[in-house]
Amino acid sequence: MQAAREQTTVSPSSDYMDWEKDTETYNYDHFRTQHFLYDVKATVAGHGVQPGDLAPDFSLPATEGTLQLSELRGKPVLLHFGSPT
Amino acid sequence: MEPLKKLHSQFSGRVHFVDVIVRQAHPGPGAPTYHSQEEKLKHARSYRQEHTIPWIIAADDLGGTVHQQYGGMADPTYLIDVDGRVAFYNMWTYVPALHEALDDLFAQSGRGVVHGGIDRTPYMLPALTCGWPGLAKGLPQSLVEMETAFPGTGVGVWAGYQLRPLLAPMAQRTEALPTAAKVGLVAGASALATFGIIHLAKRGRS
Repeated sequence: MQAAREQTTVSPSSDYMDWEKDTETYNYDHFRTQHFLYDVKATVAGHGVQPGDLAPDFSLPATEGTLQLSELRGKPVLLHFGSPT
Repeated sequence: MEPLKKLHSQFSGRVHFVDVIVRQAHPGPGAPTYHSQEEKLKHARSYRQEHTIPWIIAADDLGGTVHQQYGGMADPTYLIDVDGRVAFYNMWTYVPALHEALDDLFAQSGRGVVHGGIDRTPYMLPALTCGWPGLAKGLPQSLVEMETAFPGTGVGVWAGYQLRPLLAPMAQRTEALPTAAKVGLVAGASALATFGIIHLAKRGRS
């Protein structure tokens, strides 16, 4: 299982979006060149929700209850995605 | 995180700040890969307490469903307007750009696209000066893997952290450097480079 996981993660032929669609490779055990390259390619492509688009709503468990993005309308929202490491 | 905290205090009460914890970007013995969303949430709580973060932190699922809907970048920030539309997309979080975009957003009643809509500039200086404490949690694996993935980056983050007293005035700002300061920095760097080239050329001839 671990070998298969690694192979998927580091495969140089995999499309830069494909590995992100898989939970095990998204939530990786090892940082690889492919993860760095993903950001480079996504930057060039301007990949993400585009300005003017409706921000996709979500409901997630949070440090204070549950966070529903759409409930915050009425004030601007600064939405940051990040990692503790 | 410190520049974002300063920005939060500057816009306190006027803007909802939200963090979504995505994954361990640089896993290692002290920062193991998450195995459940509950584990992520638990870590979000301790991380919030450790860094005295005054805003809410949400925990995405293990597959990063929400993170991927928003593009899956390592460290992006979106500004969402009062109607729930994307006003500005900072692909590599840079607080001075966010500050200007927020000022622009309030100047147009909190609605619409601002500051060019998207900023793709890979701002590396903030990560170089404050990324080491996070990377250090996963040592030695985190450093070895970063150096293997892109040689020089791991050591660069360590060196940037050591030089933070010098770099922080530029790297940890909440507002962009004034134009005069930018011109001065470019002129200074150019003068140093010219001096170095002339010095090396003279040594080469002697």
